[in-house]
Amino acid sequence: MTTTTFQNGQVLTSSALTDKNLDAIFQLLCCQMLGLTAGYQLPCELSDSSNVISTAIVSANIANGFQVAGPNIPEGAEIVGISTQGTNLLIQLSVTPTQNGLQTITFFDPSYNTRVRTSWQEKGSPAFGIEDDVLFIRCVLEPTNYNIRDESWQVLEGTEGKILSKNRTYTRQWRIAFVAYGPNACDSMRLIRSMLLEDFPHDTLAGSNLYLVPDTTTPDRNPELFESQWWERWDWAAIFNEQVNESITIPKVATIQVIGTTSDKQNFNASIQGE
Amino acid sequence: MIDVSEIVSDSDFAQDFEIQRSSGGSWKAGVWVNETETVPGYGIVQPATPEELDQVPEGDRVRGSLSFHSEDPLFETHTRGTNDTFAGTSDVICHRGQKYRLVKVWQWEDFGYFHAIGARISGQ
Repeated sequence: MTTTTFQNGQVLTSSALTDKNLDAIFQLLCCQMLGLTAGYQLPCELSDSSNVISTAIVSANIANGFQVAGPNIPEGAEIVGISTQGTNLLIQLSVTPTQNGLQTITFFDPSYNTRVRTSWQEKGSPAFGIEDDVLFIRCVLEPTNYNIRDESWQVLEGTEGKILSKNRTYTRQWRIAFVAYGPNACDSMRLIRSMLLEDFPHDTLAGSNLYLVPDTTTPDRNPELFESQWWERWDWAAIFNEQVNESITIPKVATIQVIGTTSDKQNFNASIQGE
Repeated sequence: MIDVSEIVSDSDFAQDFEIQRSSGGSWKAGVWVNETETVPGYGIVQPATPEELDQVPEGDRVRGSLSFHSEDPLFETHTRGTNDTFAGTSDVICHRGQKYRLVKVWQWEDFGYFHAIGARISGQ
């Protein structure tokens, strides 16, 4: 949610996502759709006297070297060992937690940092090799006629009826372009296309008011000739509807002063009270 | 081969400059997070192009570039590979209050020097 306060005191609150929001959402989601563990969460029991955290045994795609993040876990933690004890899964970390307690701990395959990359990085970034499988995402708004706006009004709670909220809901469309390089670029694109129709990507995107327009196209194969070699490249884009919810505060009229002259030339000056 | 490093380090031509050099970095969630260190540089600094005015609808934008000759290695953006032990982005050379990001590097190291073109990034 972003909030803008205008010079007259009105406040506009909007759920509209930014390109940076989209980058973050799709970077994580694309890693997950490509089969990487990224942002996988488990409730774990922490101890400040041991570098072993525990959770109930579950089917989880985690391994040594995976990055670990969460409350009371020092930065840079990674898994150095996994074992079981009774019904518990014991995960040995490279660091010791700073406090005891049950916390939600998040796990990342370290290749999550490089497998999917955002485009147009301000200060540039190192490139990749011809044998590296890398997926780039580009998020731009799509011109569309589908911009119907629904509006409703309500009195804001706690303002004694003096401030109204005008709520507006509309749809806009994002074009998310996927550019896959590397020997497995074709298959990466297949995975992304297939997985976008599955539940967890849908639910993740719906959590940010994003919904795939399922009328998609076929990926294009566009190998690039660079320094005397053909670099495998596939391009594909999908359109997503974003439901944007905005509300703006509007002070309710308290009184209106009416000054005028009647038909028989009598001046009048009256105040009309608001409801 | 003739070693011409003596010329590019001749105090009649050369001057000090500062290099903000990538000392590595890491990818975090698909975004490159650069780490830099400041190292001293010494060499010949010359204009590579005249200062050019781009008159675009949004305003006048002035750009320019400098040419650097130095005995010391100068780096463009590189990935970790055979010759590089870590990935990093191009050197940024600070000269007279302006910053120049290297966009071309000629590796004349067999002749004792490096030549690079830096595009001004601290301009308008």
